[in-house]
Amino acid sequence: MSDLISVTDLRVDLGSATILRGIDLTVGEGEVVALLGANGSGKSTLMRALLGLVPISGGDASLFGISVRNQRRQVPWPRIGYVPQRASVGSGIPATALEVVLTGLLHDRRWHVPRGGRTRALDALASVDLADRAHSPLHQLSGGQQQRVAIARALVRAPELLLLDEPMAGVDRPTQATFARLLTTLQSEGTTVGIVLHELGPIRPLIQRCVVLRHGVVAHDGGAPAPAPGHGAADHEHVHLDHGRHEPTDVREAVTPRSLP
Amino acid sequence: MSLLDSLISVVSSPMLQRSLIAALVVGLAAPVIGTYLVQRRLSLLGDGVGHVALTGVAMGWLVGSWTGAEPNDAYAVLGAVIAAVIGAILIEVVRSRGRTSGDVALALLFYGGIAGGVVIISLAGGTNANLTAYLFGSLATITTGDLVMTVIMAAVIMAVGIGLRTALFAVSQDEEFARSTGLPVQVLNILIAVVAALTVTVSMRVVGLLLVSALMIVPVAIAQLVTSSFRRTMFTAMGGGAAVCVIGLVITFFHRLAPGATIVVLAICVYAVIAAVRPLLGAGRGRAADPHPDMDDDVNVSKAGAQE
Repeated sequence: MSDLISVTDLRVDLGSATILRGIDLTVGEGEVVALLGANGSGKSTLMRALLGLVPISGGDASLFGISVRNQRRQVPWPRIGYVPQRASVGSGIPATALEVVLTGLLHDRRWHVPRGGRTRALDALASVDLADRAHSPLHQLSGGQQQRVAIARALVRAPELLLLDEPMAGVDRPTQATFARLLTTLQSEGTTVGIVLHELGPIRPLIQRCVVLRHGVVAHDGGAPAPAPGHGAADHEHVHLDHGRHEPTDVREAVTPRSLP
Repeated sequence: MSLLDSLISVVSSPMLQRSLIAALVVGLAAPVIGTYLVQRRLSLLGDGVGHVALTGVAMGWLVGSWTGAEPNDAYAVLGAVIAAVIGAILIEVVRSRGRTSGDVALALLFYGGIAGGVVIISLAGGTNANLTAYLFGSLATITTGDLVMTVIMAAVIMAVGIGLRTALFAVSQDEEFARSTGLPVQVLNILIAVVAALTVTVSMRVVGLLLVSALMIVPVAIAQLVTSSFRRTMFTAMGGGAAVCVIGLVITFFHRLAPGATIVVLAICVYAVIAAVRPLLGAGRGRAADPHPDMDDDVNVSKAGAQE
């Protein structure tokens, strides 16, 4: 089994703050790994560093054995699907769910929708239970539906490695159910999945391995850890009022000192 | 009958034919790139580039006067193209670095562009009056050579803007995701900036640098009032842009009005009318369809009061 993700002594600085240090991590083919940690522990930043979306200051991260830091152009991007934390609704120009999913078919050497791409995009929307919403403008969909469009946009790539950043944060129950079912299917098909999560919640049975970050270092790597006291109840809805606000999800926020813990 | 007679005289005048074709072509091309600019929240980029292009016009004029070129604005359009491309790339670089300083940088480009243009034109021995044609458009003086140039540039703009639609939409809609797909986001961003600069210079002839952005943005603003997809917004905006340009110009054949400004005023009137009428048209549709997504309740209510 080869390593799809390999991270060695990774260090990420944003502005003057060190967000991640000394991260070592390997993820093999077919694994489903949850990346857990409190707000601001650096889990989103780790995922974004893996994808080359934030600069790496030390160490290295490889996808499919190719360094993201030094050979970004050689990374096989078509084999990777990414679901960003907040699905961007875009601005005033209306765009349909289908149009957004079609952008998932592009990669470094393909700037056009390929033949049959439309059918693939509709299939991807159907797989997240949004077949009937293909022609709805994105801004008319609920937050959970927009999140599912973002997932379909990654799935249309038929990725071998799927990376999701907080796909369950603040979404409705149908989206959670769709997501749990989807994860089971992906797992059985052998897709390698990395998910940034706040807590395991309903997908707990599907996760074999958890990596917990604390203050930018790996605090745990193994089986699912027990939830912190007060977070374990079955009915616990873990969406804080300040959700996402303390996490330095991009450079602009991160260089502002008050956005750091 | 007099209207028909005048229309026939218009169609038979080569000068008016040229200006009509130029207005049509520019009206079609300008909203193509305008759609991406609105999507990127860069509606004012066209203005910034237009201001910088004025410095380019004056530079071209200065070079013309040094080399004794005939006419002395022979290099003005070339200068405008170069300055607009440099200005657009500068704005794109500032934008991609983060928004806080971008606002001020844009403002500096705006003012620097206009002031630089006026200073350089006086260095070149010209007057502000020489710049007026560039600031407010000069459809009436368009030559066959100008027209050919306009058509070629508009064709390039439409080929890039429509041909690379999905890729340009991807980087405009969600840049972060686009980067994760491996698309060369920086190259595509610069491509949008450069094509926007070409659009500015090609539209300069029709409405002038001060109103260029209106031709790129207002048709898009009109289109997005009535459409629900990106593709349809772009094509509706192209049709609308071409229509207001041609109709606006035809109005000026019968009334002594400045063509560029008339086109823009007409476009804004169309926007205002559609924006005012739309709620009336949409009212029936809105009542028929439930705007709320079909969702299960997040809480358990004892009585089934609401449907689903």
